[in-house]
Amino acid sequence: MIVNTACPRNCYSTCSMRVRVDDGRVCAIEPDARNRATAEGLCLKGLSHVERAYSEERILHPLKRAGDSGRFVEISWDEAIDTIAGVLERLKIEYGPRSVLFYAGSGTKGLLNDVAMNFWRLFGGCTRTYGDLCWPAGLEATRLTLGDNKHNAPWDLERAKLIVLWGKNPAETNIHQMPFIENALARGGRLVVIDPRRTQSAEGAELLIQPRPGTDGALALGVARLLIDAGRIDRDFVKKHVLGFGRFREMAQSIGPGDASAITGVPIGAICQLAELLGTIKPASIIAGFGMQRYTNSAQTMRAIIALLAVTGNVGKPGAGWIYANLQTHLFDAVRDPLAFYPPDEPDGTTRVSISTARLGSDLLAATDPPVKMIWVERGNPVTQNPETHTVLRALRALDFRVVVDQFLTDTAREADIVLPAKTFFEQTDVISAYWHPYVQLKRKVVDPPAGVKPETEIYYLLARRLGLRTDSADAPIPAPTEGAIEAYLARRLAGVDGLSLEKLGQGPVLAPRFEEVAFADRIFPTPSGKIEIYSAEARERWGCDPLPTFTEPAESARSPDPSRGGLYLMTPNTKNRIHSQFNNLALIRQVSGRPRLTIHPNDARPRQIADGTRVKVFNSRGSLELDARLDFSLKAGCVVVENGWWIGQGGAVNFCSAGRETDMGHGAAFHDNLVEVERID
Amino acid sequence: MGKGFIFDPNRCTGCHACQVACQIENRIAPPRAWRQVYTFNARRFRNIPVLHLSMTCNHCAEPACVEACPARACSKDAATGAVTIERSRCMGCNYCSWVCAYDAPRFDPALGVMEKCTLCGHRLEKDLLPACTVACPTGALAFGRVTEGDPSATLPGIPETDLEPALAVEPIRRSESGPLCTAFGPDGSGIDEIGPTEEGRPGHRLDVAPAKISLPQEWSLLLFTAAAALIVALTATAGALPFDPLLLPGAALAVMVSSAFHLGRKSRVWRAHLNWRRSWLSREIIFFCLFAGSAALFLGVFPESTLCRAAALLAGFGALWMIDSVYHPIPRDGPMGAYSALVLPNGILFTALLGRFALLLALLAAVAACFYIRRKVLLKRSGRNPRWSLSLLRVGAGLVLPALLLLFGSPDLYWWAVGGALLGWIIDRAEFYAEMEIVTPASRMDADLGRCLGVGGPRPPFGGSRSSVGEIENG
Repeated sequence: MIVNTACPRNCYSTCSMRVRVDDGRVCAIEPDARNRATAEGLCLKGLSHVERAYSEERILHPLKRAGDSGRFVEISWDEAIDTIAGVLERLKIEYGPRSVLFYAGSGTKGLLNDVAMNFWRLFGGCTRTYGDLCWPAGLEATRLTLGDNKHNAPWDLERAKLIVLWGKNPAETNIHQMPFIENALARGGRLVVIDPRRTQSAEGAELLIQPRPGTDGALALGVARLLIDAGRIDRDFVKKHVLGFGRFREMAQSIGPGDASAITGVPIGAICQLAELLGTIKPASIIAGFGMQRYTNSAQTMRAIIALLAVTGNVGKPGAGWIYANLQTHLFDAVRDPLAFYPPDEPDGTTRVSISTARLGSDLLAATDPPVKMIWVERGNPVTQNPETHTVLRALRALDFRVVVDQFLTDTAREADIVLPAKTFFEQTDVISAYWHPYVQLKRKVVDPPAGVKPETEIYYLLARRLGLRTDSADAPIPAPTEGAIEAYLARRLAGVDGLSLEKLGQGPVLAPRFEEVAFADRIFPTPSGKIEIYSAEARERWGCDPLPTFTEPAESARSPDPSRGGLYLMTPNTKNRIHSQFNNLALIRQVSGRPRLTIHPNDARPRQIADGTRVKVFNSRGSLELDARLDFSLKAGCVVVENGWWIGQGGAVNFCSAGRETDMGHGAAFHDNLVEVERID
Repeated sequence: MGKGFIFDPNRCTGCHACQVACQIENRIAPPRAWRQVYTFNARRFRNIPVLHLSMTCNHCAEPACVEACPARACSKDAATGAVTIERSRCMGCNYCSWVCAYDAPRFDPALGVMEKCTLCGHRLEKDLLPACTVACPTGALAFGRVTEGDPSATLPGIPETDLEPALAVEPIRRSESGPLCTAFGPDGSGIDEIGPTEEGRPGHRLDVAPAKISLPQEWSLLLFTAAAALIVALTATAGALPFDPLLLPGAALAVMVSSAFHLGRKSRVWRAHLNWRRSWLSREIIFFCLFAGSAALFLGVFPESTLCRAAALLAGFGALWMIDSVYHPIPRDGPMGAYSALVLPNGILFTALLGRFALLLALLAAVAACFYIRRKVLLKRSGRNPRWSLSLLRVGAGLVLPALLLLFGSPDLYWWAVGGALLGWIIDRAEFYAEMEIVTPASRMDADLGRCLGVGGPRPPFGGSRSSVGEIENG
């Protein structure tokens, strides 16, 4: 039997899938060509869901911590629900409902995720986080500049004559973008990659520009100055559609190519070549990654890069544009990201939105009136994935009670008092949107969950019943644990959106209503001025930033070394083998991912007496990790790399070293501002 | 040509989806894998592209495994072209994996048999494509009609063979030097000043492919081949034996049995003779059995019979020739590539020693020493450790000493000559297995990368020669 469904991981690709089921068991997964963006195939992670669903390590019953031994014992659902309900009732009376922090990560997508907040509102409220680990600085930069986060359809990229992968490595993070890039190159397009690392995605590029981390804004301004000086701007487009060009031109005069070269560590020749390409080849698409916008100066960086497209008229045209996040399928929220990430403190009158995701540990410890006494974690693994692991651990351990919902005993689950088993995506129907391609998809249920596993909606249903809450409340319903009730819930959510229904989604991926194959083709920019705002007054009003995309050094810079830190930039990129901390516990993945390693250029290794395979300590004032060194001959010297997502027990949990800081805009996590030192361990 | 895999290195990103899809489809638990992804220039040396090669069995038109398999477990399906291993026939001798330059057959330790890509025959039957090609997310791997052409010409890591692999490789479209990398060091110094050769010398062997066979694994073969030469020589010179001559056929049987110890399925050893029409391994085993039988007849029943003696010697020296022939189809690199196992010549050398033909021995020893020293010099030149002290023992004790003792020494010292020759012979055998470099895609990539970095031969076409600072100048 073949069941059509879709992968709900936090990933650009959000693939349509055909799942082969024999005797009620998932056997294999194949791509579904009806999704034009992911028609070609699947990634190894998507394939490995076959193992993940049946892994021996999967949690199949509620677990209770057994004293301080670090061990867990199986308990019944009744005991688990009674225990949690007992704590909730006590805390609500003693401290109020806001003494509970509801923390959700990005582990799985779907409309049913909202049921959690429905529960907490019924409960009387809770504390929530604001901001996001992933991408807010870039979203806010885009929103302020272009007015909305949307971009051309993935396949439109084949029409680009110049593609600049700026801090993005789709070969590892968005593999389905690679065929479109390759097709563009086969049609005579040209590729430039900007990344301190020589990534797999750079192999097809003619030029790899390797700036010092956190200085991409200066690179963009240097290029802008060259474009302006050479008169290679689209005057007509700028006049009609760009706000603030004059002031931008003035500001860009302050960064000549020599300054940009000195700041970025990129030869002037390469900066000139990039300007030459951007100034002479149209249409041009700039594809920006997420890693680059996790610095303390990064929203301004992103705004400076968007400005390059604006002044060259590369917006709203086929093959041209700013490819960052395509939220055309985000149709179900009252407020579209990034605005949904920001406080107001009490958006619904009950919830307190007061903990910065970027500073989860320290904000938790500092919370008062009421203090946070309990945390509920689902879809997330904040211990390894949020900045400052030591502080996060300290904050979690200072709480009275911790509930974690997960499929596996992650480092966060190991801190829990009660661990509740989570479903896999095969085990409940849901509707998912995407952030790269324009399809809304039905994530159809494929198999029943194992006997001891209940979907999160059912957990909330049981808990609400146990607490005597009305699950059929009109404004905050919690669907009953039947397929009919789930479908009715989803149908209600879809009802408000033109042309969408469960029936229609059941026939295959559906293009978002009012889908724009070429974003901004109508030249309507929903900014205050209706133009592309290189000069954004809101940047100053909301964030206290310069309205122009000026360059400032990031908080941790090798140019202003603080002896207590180190002199090396620790880059912690994602790998094709994981989605953050998911998947690496599977044999199919481990065979490929191996062990955590510190990648280092020989020029940095040699003076530290580090050879290939040397055991090294990576450290700064916040923490340290120990792992083996691996030489890379094309990495930018001064940078070292450890892929993120390793578990503590695996030895490479990178956030022991990162800092809990926010980005300049958007309440993102600036954890890539991370200087370390490396020394050999004898 | 028929259908096969079509690989596009421009599109492959080394994502491993093909390998994982294969493992899931065919229920192979990692680390076992039928399809492998090899990466060329994984350390990202500048001016050399990073390329990947996803490879499994190429279902050759002239499959080496089908010819080599003694048990007739490998076969080629006339209809689909698939080369498959029938598990119920395989005795797990690994010989198919030795002769396959593509490193396709793999040993399954659980079942004790060889296994490999089946071309997803169970899917082809239902008009479905092989699982790996369906999964590939970049369009790098496809299945279809393959055109004639030598795939090894286009991409590092593909060994040249005359097996007519059903594999097509798209020509590389991108720069042959990889992207132009532009960066200064943190202090503003130009790290571009370091050319590939300088950074390459220490680095180019950081990821050396593991050798396919190793001496500790192959001790039973060492014992068998070393003893075979000795037993045949002793039989040939049967008059001089200080022990019961019937011990010789007994010993022959014993070493035959011991050589079966490396089999995954010892109970199927009887199948070893089945492919006598095509496999040197089958022929070796048949001839060695014939030798054991005829030697027993000659030494035990008709010691005076010239016919029996002739039959035993024919079978014996024939078996030694077959042993050498077993190693000839194995694709080998390095100085050992052209080097025979030399079991037959050493059998003759021992015959000269045991028959006390001093001049013949001296001549054979001189020739053997020359070949041996030449090989060691080549080994040294290729960057490997020639183990000179062992070489001294092999030549001094194993060749020079016996020849001198037989020529000039007192007869009292005869057994010293035999002992020295024996020691030298065992060293020779051990080095043969330890130094053999069986060609694999991984070993071929190592060699190609070395050449790109200026080590071990002319630069291959896919390594660019752009000067390190290139077109990008500062200022």
